[in-house]
Amino acid sequence: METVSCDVLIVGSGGAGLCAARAAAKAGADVLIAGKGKINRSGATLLAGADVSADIACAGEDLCKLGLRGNPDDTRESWYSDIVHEGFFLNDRDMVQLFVDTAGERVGDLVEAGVKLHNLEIGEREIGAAGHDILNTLWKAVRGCGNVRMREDITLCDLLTAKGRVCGALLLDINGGALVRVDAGAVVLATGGAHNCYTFTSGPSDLCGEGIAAALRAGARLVNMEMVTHCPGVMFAPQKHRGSILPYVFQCLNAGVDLNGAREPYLHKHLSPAMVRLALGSEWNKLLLCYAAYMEREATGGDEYGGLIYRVGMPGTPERAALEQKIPHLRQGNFGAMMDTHDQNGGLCVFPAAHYFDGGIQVNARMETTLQGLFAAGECTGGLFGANRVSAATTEMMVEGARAGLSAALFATQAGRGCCDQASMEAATQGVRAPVGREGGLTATAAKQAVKEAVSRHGGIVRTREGLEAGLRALDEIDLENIGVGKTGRYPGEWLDYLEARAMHTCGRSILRASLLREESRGVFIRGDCLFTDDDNWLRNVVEGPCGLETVPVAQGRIASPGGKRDYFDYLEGMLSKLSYYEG
Amino acid sequence: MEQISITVARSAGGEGYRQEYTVPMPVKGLSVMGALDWIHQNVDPTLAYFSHAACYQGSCGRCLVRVNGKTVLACNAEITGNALLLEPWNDKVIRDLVCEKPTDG
Repeated sequence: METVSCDVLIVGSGGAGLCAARAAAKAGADVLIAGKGKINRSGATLLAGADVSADIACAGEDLCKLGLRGNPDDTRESWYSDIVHEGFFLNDRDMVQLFVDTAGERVGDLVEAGVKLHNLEIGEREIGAAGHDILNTLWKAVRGCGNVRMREDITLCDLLTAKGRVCGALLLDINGGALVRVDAGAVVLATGGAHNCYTFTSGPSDLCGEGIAAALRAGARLVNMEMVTHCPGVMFAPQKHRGSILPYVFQCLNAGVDLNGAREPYLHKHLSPAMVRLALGSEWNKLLLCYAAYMEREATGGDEYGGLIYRVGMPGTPERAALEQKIPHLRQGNFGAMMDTHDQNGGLCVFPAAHYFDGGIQVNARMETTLQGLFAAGECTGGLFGANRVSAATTEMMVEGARAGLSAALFATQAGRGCCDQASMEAATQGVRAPVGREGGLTATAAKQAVKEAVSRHGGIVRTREGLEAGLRALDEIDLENIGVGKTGRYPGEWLDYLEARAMHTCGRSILRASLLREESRGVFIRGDCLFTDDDNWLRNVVEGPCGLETVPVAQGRIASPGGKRDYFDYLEGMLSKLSYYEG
Repeated sequence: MEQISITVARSAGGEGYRQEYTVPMPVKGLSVMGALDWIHQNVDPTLAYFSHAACYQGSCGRCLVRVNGKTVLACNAEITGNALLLEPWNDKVIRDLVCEKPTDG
């Protein structure tokens, strides 16, 4: 077996992985990045903000210090308070502090590295740039470091350990079809969310939760896996455009109207006037529009494709001209084709899709997991945004990536390169090779479909005890040990499917189990059978570790909940009035 | 329901051969990638095409395939007509429709 050695192994090559690599390399570490796809063309970063404009946030005062336009009266403290309110008090406060304190530096790094700023979403505390440009800019910065090696098309099978310390990983080189052992001083997981646990997602096919699942198998903890943000305006049909969040960009610009299958407005049926205003005027629209869309399709069914409609101005109208001025490439390529379907069908066929994982691997503000030698950054982690992220996932990946890379480099310098126990290596290898050549009754691709089906149906926008229990039974019926994988060799698709099915099954089970335990609704998490937010009993994280599930109180710090239990929507409205940007 | 015939130039068994699949066309707007996913999920899990890190949005540029002689992105190419021939887009074939990517800077 090929064996590679490095100080810091970084698994994942999106924004978090690249920022971690750069920070670790700057701290003097010899770094290896392992990307599941092409380094600057995979992960969720590529299509952030539909690749039109992803918001990159820091406190307005920090934007001004960078010489950029921002609100000089917007302080870090004000941003901290907003993030904790937006997160419904579940945020890890130390992580929020790190976030608001270092976001300005990271944004400065990105601007200095040459990212092209987009003028679409300039706000009081954010600037905008295209997803692919953010990724390319970070990639170029990493290539400028001398001590970073990169491997592409290589996927994580398992973490390797020695006496409880993580000291490497077993990878599968996809094109070669061969296992690769990496011995490392420290490992940073930057593998993104588990989007593909869901049938309908805005994420690329790479995101199957491999890092989250491997961390749990190795003995690390997961936090708040029940918190999954859906994005309301995602192309549902035609299939060619499925998954694009362009309609969401329109929703953020409040450029059109939300209609049901009969082309009638529906938001007012499910949201109060104050909430409709908020849904149409801020990034809170995600949570509110998803809820309304879900309720509307339950009540009236969808259009001919099973989705709902988002309609902007037709060609020739001033509304359309204004939109095309804001997004100039709306007439070209894929966007042009999408707008053609819009004009033919009287709107875009949209529905909410699984979009962002608020929960994930538990880390502290140094991005240390509960396992020695294991660090994590970006969307595969949980805690920073609590029960709801309103904006700034691109800032999250930069802040957490940079911190994780530094922590990992310092750890590796002190601990030296590791060498895993033979037992760990054997367990990892056997786990990966188990289905190969087995006469199985189940194909890996069928197992993946079954996981998606169970998680989508029962772990979506509105969940209930009954549904979650049914979903868990459905997952239990998927017997991964009954999966057979035929030929391996180069590009072993079935084997890859097995690895993905295994990760998705683990993550899906975590999502459903955590959802069942949390008997309330909070932020993006809505239990239809518990439509209240309960601060007396549920200012707690759901944590899954080697010993199972537990709930752990969240230290409240200086921005604390007053306590009490209230109707979910009343609570939401009350929360809004606490935000610095609330206009009543 | 309308059906289309998709012939794929394969190499998974060693020697090159062609395999034909019949795919239902439930709604308009099915892409080549959508058809490949359907085959993979419903008929033949051994069919290899670029699927492990695909953006499905015409951005990553990795799902290149030759459709009736023309190289396109599978996710972007809408199916027209009722018969398709899918071939690897270059001669450095890894497996079935998966090819080595060109070296870039």
